[in-house]
Amino acid sequence: MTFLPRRIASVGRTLVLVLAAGISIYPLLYVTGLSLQTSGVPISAWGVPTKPTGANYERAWKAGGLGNALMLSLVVAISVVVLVTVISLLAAYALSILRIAGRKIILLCFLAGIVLPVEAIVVPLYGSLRDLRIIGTPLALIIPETALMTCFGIYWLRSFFLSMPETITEAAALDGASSWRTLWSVLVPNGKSAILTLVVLVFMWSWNEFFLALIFLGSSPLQTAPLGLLNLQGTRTTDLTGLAAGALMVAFPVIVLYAILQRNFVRGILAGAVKE
Amino acid sequence: MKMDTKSSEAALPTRATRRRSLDVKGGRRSAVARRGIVPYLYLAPAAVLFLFFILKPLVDALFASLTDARIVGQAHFVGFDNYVRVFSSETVRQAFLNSFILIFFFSVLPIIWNLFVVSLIARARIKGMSILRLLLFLPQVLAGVVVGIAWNAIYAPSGPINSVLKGVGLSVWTRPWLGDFDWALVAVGVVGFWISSGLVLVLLLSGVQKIPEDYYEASMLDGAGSVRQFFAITFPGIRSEIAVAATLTTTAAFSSFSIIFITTRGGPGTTTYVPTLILYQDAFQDFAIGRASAVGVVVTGVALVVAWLVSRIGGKEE
Repeated sequence: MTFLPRRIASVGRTLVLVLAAGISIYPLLYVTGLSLQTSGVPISAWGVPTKPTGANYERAWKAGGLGNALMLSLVVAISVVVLVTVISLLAAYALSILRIAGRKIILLCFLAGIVLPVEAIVVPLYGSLRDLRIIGTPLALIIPETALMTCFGIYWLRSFFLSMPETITEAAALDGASSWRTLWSVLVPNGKSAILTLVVLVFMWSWNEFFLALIFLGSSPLQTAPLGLLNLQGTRTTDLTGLAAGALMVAFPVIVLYAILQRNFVRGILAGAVKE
Repeated sequence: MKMDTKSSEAALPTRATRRRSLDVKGGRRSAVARRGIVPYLYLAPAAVLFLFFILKPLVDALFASLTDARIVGQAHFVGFDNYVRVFSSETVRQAFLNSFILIFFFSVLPIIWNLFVVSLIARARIKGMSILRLLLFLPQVLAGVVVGIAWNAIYAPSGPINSVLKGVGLSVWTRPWLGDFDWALVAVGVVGFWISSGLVLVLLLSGVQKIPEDYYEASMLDGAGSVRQFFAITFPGIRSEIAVAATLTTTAAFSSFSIIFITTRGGPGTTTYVPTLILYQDAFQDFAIGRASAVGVVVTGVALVVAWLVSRIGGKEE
């Protein structure tokens, strides 16, 4: 083989990959450019703002009510993260290391909960939440999201618990540690990475959730960030630059988390493929 | 820089772990394996949530789908009337057909295209894989609403696609893509392709890089060409990655409601309707709870059947 074809092949490979990565990032770059462009001034396909301004962000934040929406999203997401993590830890512990009758069938139920599309339950769920008088409140999102995501949390943490060497829990038992103590001071400190993965994943899912928010908060003044964007779209049909700014503000927290904890995100997202 | 194998390594052990754990009979024997009521107390919060907010609504939906329930008033048993109506409605049939077309764009096309890309790249060491992966995975973490807004701007009459077409003298091709009867569904499909493609590429690349170099050397000695190598070595070698990719991308196709809602809201006409949109309108605009429940049950059935079919892709090797 000669030198030249190999060189060309290598350049070709790099080109293909750079192109693929470029396509992945392009919409975000274009929207960034758009969000910084003065409203009404055309922008090129490269998305480089020719008349930069921060006014779009201000408009989206104030007129769109995104400030409040982002705050509510944060409250919901953090509540769901805390609840899912704690409840999943307890249940996964019971279903892996402790003894429980009917474990197999219980696990199958939670696995079914992962696979089940939310469409299957959303209509009666609305009725239940209305009977509880929490439609239009943050609880209408926090409770169902917690229930749904706990199914994944249990599965995810259970596989972590099962990967732990038995000697660790045995040693704790020999020291006379209670099951509660074994969980919190032996297992949890060893599972920081697995727990962190669950935390970022649940945060992302809750933060990005749209369908449940549309239905359970739709007609109330309370709005999550994605719903706030919808309203921005509704009231200002032509305000592309304001929408772009709003979309970036909504995407920002998750993108930052993702940039820092990329490995946890990738691992968690790929784990979503494991289904029965 | 290191080659990237982390992502698939991360996925595979958990698969194996769970399979093992399900097969274990009689539970794990260890010194802390305690009997009595305590384990049930640990399980209780999750069980209560599951019973009241997943199982109960599921059962309710099955029953409601057999009634003419509305938001208020008495519900009457109507047998399978709702299902008959669901299946005989032109709009619903179109919505399900659209779902399958979207699966093609979200799942089939990205997998075929990236198999091609991966076969071009072969097993070369890739520099900068971690930054590449960061970018390729980005669409996975963006909210559907954000994705929808970004593509609304890209497809806009004054957006980059139309301005590029104009720039290269193809003005006749410009159109409001998401408002075009012939192109709206394809336009939404392209968004799906964009979402899935990076994920699929990352998965397939990491799969290829796990295949031992000897296999290729041996086949080369046997005189196998690159096409032959692809079908005899590469393809079987990345089958489990293809299965993971297919599962994730079909799931994404079924949950594309937010993107549809932001970009086309089912339009123009009913060209981009999906079943979830019909469920939403039936239940929360027409308040026809029975009919909406029937749509939900059918959606669930279809999604589960597709998930089962997809799981067969990676099934045989085990």
